[in-house]
Amino acid sequence: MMPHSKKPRLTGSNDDAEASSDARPFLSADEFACILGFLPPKQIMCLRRVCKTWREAAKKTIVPIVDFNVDSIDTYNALTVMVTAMPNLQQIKISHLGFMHKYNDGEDPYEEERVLLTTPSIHDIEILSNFSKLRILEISRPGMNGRYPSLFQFSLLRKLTISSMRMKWDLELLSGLPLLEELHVYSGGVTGNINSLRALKGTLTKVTIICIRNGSGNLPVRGDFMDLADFPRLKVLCLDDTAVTGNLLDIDEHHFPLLEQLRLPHRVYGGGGHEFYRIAEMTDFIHKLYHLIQKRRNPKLFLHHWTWNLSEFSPDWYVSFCPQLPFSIELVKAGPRLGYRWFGIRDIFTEEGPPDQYCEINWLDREPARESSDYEIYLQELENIQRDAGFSTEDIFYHLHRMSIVSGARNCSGKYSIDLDKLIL
Amino acid sequence: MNADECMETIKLTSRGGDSFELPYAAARLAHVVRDANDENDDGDIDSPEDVEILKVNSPCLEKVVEFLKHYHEEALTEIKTPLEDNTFEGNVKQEWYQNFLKGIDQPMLFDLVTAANFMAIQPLLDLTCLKVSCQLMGKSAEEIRQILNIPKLTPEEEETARRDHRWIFDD
Repeated sequence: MMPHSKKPRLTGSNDDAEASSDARPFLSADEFACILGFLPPKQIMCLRRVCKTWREAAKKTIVPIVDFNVDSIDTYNALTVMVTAMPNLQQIKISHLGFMHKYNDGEDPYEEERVLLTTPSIHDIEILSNFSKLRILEISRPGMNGRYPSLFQFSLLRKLTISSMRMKWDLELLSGLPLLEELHVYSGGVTGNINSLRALKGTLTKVTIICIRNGSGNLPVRGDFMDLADFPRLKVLCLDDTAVTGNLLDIDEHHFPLLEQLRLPHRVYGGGGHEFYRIAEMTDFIHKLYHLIQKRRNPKLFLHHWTWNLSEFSPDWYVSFCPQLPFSIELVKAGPRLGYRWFGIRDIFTEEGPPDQYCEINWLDREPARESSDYEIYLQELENIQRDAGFSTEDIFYHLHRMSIVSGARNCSGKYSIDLDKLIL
Repeated sequence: MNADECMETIKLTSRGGDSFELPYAAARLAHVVRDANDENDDGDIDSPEDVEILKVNSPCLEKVVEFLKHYHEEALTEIKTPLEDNTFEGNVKQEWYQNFLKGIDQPMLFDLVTAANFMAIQPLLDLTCLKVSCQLMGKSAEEIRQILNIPKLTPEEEETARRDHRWIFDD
C-alpha cells in the first residue's frame, strides 16, 4: 500500500478536470499557445479569430523563427496589430513600405534626405521596440533616416542585419543587445570603434561590417582588429571596407581560437589588398604568414579573397607597356601542399586586356609522398591551379630583363616563367 | 543519491485511484515528480516517494506513464521550428512516437496536452501540441470553429477581425 499520509497530492490550480473528458476543447490559453507555437505567424493571426481563449493564446505564443517581412502598408498594419495581438514574434525584416509611404525620421536626420522624401504617409518604426522576444532583426533598405536608439534594446536578440544608407548608429549601441551572436552590417551610417564589440565578447560568433563611404569619403568604423582576438566563439570576422587597422602577423596560435573565415581591410598590415613598399618585404611577409599558418593549422583562413600588392609608389615598381606586371601575390594550396605565386591583375575598372596572369608556384611545403593518399588529391588540385599559370609575356620579360632585375628561363610551353623573389633590389 | 541513476520505482496515482509503477529515473522527466520529491538542482534525492496526480484521469495517466517509460529508453528528438513538413509523421521520424498518438481520439489528445502541461513534461507537451497543430494546419478559423464546436463570431466581431487582418485575406 502506498503511504497516503506522506504522498504528495497534486491537484492543479483550476478544477476543470472532470470536464476534460468532454468532446469539447477545454485547453487553457497556455496550452493553446503551445499548439500555436508550431505554426507560422500568418496562421496564428488567422487562428486567433477562433475565440477569446485563442486570442489570449496568440498573445502568449512564442512565434516560431520565420521571416516576417514588413514591406508594404498591409504588412505594416499587420505589425501594428501584432504589437498587442501577437507580441512574441521572434523574427522581423523591415523593408521599404513602397511609394508614398515611409518610416518616421529618427533623431538628427540627413536634412537633404528629408526634403527629397517628404511624403504624405509616415509610419512609426519604433513600434518595433514592443517585440521584446525578438531574436532576429533585419533592417533592409527601409528608407530610414537618422538615429533610432530604441531599435538597439532587445535583450534576446541573436542576429542583427542592417543594410541602410541613411540610418545613423554607433557600434556602442550594440551593448543593448547582450546576447547578440551575429552582426551583419552593410551601412553608410555606422560609426564607432571596433572595440565597442568587446561588450559582446562572450556571445559573438559572426561579425561582418562593410561600410559605405560617407559624404566626406571617410570610412567611419575604426579601431584595431586585434581587440577581438580573445573572443572565444568568433568564427567569422569580415571587416573589408572599414578603417580598421592592426597587423596580421600579431595573430598567434592562441588568438581567435575558433576562427574559420577572416577578411581584413588593406589598412591592416597584411590585410586583403594591403600594399607593400618593397618586393622583398612581400616574400618576407609570406614566409612569416606561412609560419603562422603552420602554428594554427588552418591554411584555409588565408586562401581565397586574400591577395597582397606592391605599392605603385614602390621603388621596385616598373611601368611597362603591359598593364599586368605580376606585382600581386597570393597563397595557393594543392592537396595538403601550400605555396604562393605572383600574378598580374586584370584592370577591373576597364575590364580590358587579358585576364589575370599567374607566375609559377613557389612551394612552401614539400610534395606529398607518392604512396600517400594525399598524392592523388594533390595532383588533381595542382592541375586546376596550373590551368591559370604560365604568366610570361614576351613584353614583360623583355622589359624586366633590360633592367637586369629578373632571371628567367623558357619553360616547356615556350614561355618564360618569372620568379619575382629574385627581385630584391 | 543521484536521481538519474536511481534504480527504485515509484507509483503515480490518478484521480480515479489507479496506480502506475515506473522507475523514478523515468518519472523524473515530469517536473512535478521532481518537485514532489524535493529533488535539488544537482539532481540529488533521499528516497523517492509515490505521487498522486489528482488532475489526471486513469486512461490518460496510463498513457503518460507509457510515454515516460519509453522516453527513458529512447528520448524524443527535438522538434525543430519552423516545421519541416505539414504532417505529424514528417516532423516526428521516430516510429514509436508516431504510433504513440496514432488512433487516439481528440478528447484523449487534449487530455494528454493538459496532463503534459500540468505535470511539466516538456517533450510530451511538444509532441501532443505538434499533433494538434498538424490537425489545424491550413484550416481557416471558420473550419476550426466547426471542428471544435465553438460559436461563430458576431457580425461586428467578424468585421473587426477582417479589418485587423487584411494582410491575412490578401491571398
